Amino acid sequence: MTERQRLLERLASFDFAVTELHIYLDTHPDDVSAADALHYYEDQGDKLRQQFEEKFGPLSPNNENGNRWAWIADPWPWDTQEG
Amino acid sequence: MWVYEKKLQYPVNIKQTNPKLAKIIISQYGGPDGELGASLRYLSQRYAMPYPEIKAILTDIGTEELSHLEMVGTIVYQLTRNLSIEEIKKQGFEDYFVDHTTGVYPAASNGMPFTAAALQVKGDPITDLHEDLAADEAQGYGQLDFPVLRQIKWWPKRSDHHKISCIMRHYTGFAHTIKQ
Repeated sequence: MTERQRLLERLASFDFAVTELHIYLDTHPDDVSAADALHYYEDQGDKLRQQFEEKFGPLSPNNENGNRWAWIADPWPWDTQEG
Repeated sequence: MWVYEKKLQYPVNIKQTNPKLAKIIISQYGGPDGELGASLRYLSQRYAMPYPEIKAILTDIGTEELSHLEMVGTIVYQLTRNLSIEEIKKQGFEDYFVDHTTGVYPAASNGMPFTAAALQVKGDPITDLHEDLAADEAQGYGQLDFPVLRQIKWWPKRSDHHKISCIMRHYTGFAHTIKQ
């Protein structure tokens, strides 16, 4: 597994936790422990996202950092990865 | 509006092509209980929802279904790369190939193009939530009995997640708001 794949898989796990906690909190907005967990995973995800984007380019079109080739560059999410 | 991220919700990296399997999995892309239908179902039903919690939940789930759609499309794409004519014929992929080559077309396994006829939007919250449960159950039972789909390790988990979360979110969530 490449470094890129490793980071993406880890980021996917944080983001999945964020998505699901967010959905749970839609109907349980007063659940403090779920809200705490949400913030924890959001923080972890933000850090990892920044680390990923510095090494492998933007995940969001807003984070191009002046490099207009970075967004369009392969691989796209459906491309098969080496390794 | 929506914001795109250039990654899958869970990475997909298929090394062994399998067009026969792709023809089955494509139902989860554009079939009657596929991700496109799920997304459109939730995003269209939300307008009739009377409580903010339910508007939020249908928006968030409808959005998540789009990330599922992208994973399933990727699976179909990766299962059908670099096929030879012999492989296409041997694996029974000719009937799909003649119309779409290896393009990822939103259709059911039997070739029926994606249709909104398989979903319902009635403008009545209880009716619509029951319809959501029916669609998720169809997906869970129909597909888990298909051994070939167990080759994908997250499929049964995903389906369980769908069933449990659908019931928990929609039913208890809705009952919760009505009680208040």
